[in-house]
Amino acid sequence: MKLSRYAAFLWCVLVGAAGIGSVAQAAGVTPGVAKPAASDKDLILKGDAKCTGCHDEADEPTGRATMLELNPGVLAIATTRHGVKGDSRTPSCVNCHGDSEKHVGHKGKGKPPAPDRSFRKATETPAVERNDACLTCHKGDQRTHWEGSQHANNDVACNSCHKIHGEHDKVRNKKTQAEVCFTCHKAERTQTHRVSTHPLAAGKMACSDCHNLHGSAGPKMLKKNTLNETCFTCHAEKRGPFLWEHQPVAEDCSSCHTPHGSNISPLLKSRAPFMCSECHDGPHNSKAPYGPVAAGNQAGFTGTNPTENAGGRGCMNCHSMIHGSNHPAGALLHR
Amino acid sequence: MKLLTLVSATVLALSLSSGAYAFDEDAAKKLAKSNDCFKCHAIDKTKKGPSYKKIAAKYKGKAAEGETKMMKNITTGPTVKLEDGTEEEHKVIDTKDQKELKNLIDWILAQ
Repeated sequence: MKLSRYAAFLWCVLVGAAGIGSVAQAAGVTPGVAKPAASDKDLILKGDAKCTGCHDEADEPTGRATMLELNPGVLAIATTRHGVKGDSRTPSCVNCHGDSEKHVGHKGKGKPPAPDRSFRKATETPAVERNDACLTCHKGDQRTHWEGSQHANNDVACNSCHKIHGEHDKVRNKKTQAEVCFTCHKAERTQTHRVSTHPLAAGKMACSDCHNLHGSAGPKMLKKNTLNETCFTCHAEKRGPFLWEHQPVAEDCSSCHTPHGSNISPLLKSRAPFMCSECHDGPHNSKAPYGPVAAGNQAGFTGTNPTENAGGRGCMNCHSMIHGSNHPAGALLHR
Repeated sequence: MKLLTLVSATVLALSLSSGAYAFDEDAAKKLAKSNDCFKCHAIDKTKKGPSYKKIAAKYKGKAAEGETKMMKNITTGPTVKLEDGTEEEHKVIDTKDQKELKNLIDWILAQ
């Protein structure tokens, strides 16, 4: 009995040892053979070892915090949607940067040649080629009108505005987006600092609330097909239809307003009555007529002291329903 | 008296030992970074080249030899053997400042 127990124990030990051996072999661990170097392993994306073998956490610019915190290095891709391994559509390094065999195969002294597609500031890769890398996946929908858009025609690349390897893409954050746009659109930056403006600085609006930066069928890359249609997305009460229309309101908001900022509230191009008199230059129906504006005088102001119904008057004091009226007696937009 | 001698000897020994690897870590890292040393070397993992910890361990107690070898590698760019067995020319550090080079070597040896 004891002998048979001993035999069974011995058999178990032998079978167990054989099992462990086969598992080790299946796992590719061969005794006596060194493990692959750390640089042979993918760090984040499938097949990224080709790149991360050299471009690892040490790629972080000197003197900055760790790359996953502040300044994006190569590995910061893990903090973005491009680093989601569970999504089968997630690209790897070479999908965007190309196979870059010359770059990878560089040996010895000197700087290696740039990757096939480089997205650095001083890159020689044309914007069209860089954009192709993104448009391979990000096409259609909001980007349907990219080709032929002002940005595309002016060699703006996706990475001119977007930060791909960073967790925080400033241009995709409502509070910081304008900073990115204002890098080029400096006149608009100035205008938004005027007294009357859209609440960009307050972070309640972004440029992309009105503009489709990826191209549109409307003017000025507006989201909608016309300026008015775009304005009415928020200012719906001015859309009408009205019983009594104010024609320029129906035609073009920018007849009176400037969108980015003005020192005359609310975003007016000029002050009343001067702006109103640009169209309404005939004699006013109240009291005495203004006088000949054709003579070159605004609102009939000809002397040092304006008349009681001339210069400096606020037209909208009476014509308060300037955008249109639905009152049966609102023909003059008084009510 | 004996105690005073012992304390003095200890202080002297400590000051000498710390002086052997007196280096400016930030300056060393900056120089290594700007010369792309970290593309092939890491502090504690094997890349194309050996880790700095491995190099420091190799020359532990043989600092002079290590310094000579490293100085040769980073100033003349000889052919070196990589971790995967292949060979290529070592990068030459883009500075002639001996103090900077020595600082870098001391930092590596202290890993």
